[in-house]
Amino acid sequence: MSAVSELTKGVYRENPVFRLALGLCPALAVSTSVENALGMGAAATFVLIGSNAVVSLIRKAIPAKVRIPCYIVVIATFVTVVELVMGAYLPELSKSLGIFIPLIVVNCIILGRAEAFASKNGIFRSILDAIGMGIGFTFALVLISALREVLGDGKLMGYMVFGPNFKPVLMMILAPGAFITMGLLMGMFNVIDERRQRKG
Amino acid sequence: MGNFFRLVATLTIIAALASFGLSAVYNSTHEITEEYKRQEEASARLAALACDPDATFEHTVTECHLDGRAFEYDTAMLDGEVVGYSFKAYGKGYSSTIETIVGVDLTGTICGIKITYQQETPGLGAKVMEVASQNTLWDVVGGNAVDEAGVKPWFQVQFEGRTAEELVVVKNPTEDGILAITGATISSDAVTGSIRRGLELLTSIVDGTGEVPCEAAPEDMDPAGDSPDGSAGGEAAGGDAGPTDAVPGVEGEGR
Repeated sequence: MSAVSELTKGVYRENPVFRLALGLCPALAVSTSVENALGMGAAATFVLIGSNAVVSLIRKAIPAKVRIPCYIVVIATFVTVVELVMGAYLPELSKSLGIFIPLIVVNCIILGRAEAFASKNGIFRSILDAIGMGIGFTFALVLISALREVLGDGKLMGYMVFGPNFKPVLMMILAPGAFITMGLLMGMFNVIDERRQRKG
Repeated sequence: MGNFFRLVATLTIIAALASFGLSAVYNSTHEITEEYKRQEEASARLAALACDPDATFEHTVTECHLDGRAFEYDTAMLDGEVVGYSFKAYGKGYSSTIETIVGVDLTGTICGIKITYQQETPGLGAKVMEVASQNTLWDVVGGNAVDEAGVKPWFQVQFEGRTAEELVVVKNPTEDGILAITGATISSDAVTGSIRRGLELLTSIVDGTGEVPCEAAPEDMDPAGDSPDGSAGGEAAGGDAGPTDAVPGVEGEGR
């Protein structure tokens, strides 16, 4: 596989949320506003790049029996770095993301890429894979949150879209709205994919 | 045996390296985080005490308990004279305990409040922090946005100039009172009720009237603070505790 397609596969073809159905929990929980989605996407991308790079570097030194605990320690380290740095430099974002930053540790995209990709590939490809997956995850979050914020709160990036008299569909900002939006988007991507395959 | 040793050694080395790295990051960010917290507390208190921005504060921890915590307040001093008080109120909302700093003058009128902590539902309870922006997305994109840096959250502004008796949550904008942020009023009640109970207790303590009985720490005190012992203050002051006694879960907020 070429280096470019290693990078781009995560964005659409193997999009972690819509295609691989990984990391659904944060995708449901923090997609109430585009601002949160961007923050969460950036944080997860940073952790992905860091953990993929380190796991790929040390992959030959790690005995197979303890590889999962080792990966988790590496991932948890990067997550803690994000938590500390965000608390110091982006305190508002850190407040609004709250518990979901520490929970990046158990985001299955990150452990999934470490186990499925970084432990089998060189550092260059692993970083490309991480960047692609990170962009794909961020793209999915932003798409879901944009729909939910516009419909459920009448806003985008915190600014009114329809003016002050718009009555938002409150359900969209609550948990059911997250499931509905994600389900419809997944279905949409499946339909597009089927059409493509039929043509090809 | 050699294999076993290798497993332990690998994991130990990785964990050790991780802790070294993390302590380095912690050392370089810790000061900034602490400084931010201090500044936030200070600016919240200043915002709450808008009537006397130059006042200095003296901290008092009382024997009384309110909403499951020891009641503490600050006396605002200006040129050796007492000019007002500030206290922190804790109200149990839907998904968090909402913390508010309240500034009061000598007549018991609120100068200002500032919510310092909340984790309510985004789009619903979290609207206690909402700034009613008049800018639309198109204004911002088109560069016509008005600078709104000084605009305060509309829900919190409503408390200014009110006394304890006037702290009633209303749902209709035409009625006089604190206009609720949503149709159901869990978060609005939490903030309003906690402020009113705090204000009544504070008045009773500093005026020495003893109208509101000072509750000692209950024996079986619930550290989570969700025991309803805080409502005692409201009942003693005339039994008009009606809207503040909302029990989360009974009065739905549409979820």
